[in-house]
Amino acid sequence: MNVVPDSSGVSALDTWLRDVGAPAQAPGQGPVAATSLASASLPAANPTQQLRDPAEELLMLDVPSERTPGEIRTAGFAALSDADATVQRWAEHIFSPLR
Amino acid sequence: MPLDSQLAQPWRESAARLCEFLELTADPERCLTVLNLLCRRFGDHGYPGFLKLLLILGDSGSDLGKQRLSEAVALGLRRGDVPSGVLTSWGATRFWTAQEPLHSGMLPGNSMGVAPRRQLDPLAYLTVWFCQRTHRPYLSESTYRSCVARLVDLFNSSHAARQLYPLKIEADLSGIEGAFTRQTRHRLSALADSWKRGLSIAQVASAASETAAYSGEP
Repeated sequence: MNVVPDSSGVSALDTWLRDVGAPAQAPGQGPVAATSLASASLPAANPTQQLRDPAEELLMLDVPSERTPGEIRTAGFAALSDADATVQRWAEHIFSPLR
Repeated sequence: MPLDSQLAQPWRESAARLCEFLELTADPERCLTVLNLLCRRFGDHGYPGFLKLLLILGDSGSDLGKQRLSEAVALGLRRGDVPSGVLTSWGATRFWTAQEPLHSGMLPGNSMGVAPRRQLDPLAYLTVWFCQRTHRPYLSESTYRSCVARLVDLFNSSHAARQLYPLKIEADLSGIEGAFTRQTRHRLSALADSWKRGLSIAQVASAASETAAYSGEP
């Protein structure tokens, strides 16, 4: 099947960045792309002299699990029986908490 | 409620729904389709959010969910449609910073000055983010190491993914000349090699994060 890209223009990452008060970045607008030759020649993996990527903070955000295996039943799931739930509806169901 | 807890809540809920779907869905084809739809839902710049869901699932106690996700990834590796994220290629960022007059030869593989972009699987995305100039600030070594370890551990939940992923990395390294910097190639090669040899998760992550001191060459 064809996978249609999101057309809403607002990603969950954008939402997260907004919530932590950091500006979302688009390609070409980041501090690396916009820097001078001096910073461009920094050795890779030397992040100490650069801005920390807010997306990195998301990766390291502590998300403790409140549920044990076998007890995972999410809100609203009853409306999505396995037989009639399309893959599109599942994707939306999974994504919707991040809107 | 602490800020971190508030921020974590939607990610925890989303990951729980993903886990629920995987536990209910035995068909890897269906799982892969939903994963790709979900990945696209994050948009071009939101791939770290998709990776976050994988990391949360990997940290969870759901062995079945982890196995099914990894089997779906294995299917995607075989078919070439594993959920991927976009980063600009190093050639593009070199063009942006060269401060030289623009000529057409500086824009290989793109048009109208739009930066060349590559679709990268999870481990390649993290490695490029860590050690290549892209539109993102560099990923730190500690985060790179942690994420590589957790994702390799997650993908080891499927025998097929464990077998295929290192081979896919090696195939990319041999088949896409110029797409990665030398340092990225060394790190990915070390990651694949140590993974194939069955080293521990910590050793695989160390091999990827500690190898190939920067040589000054791209």
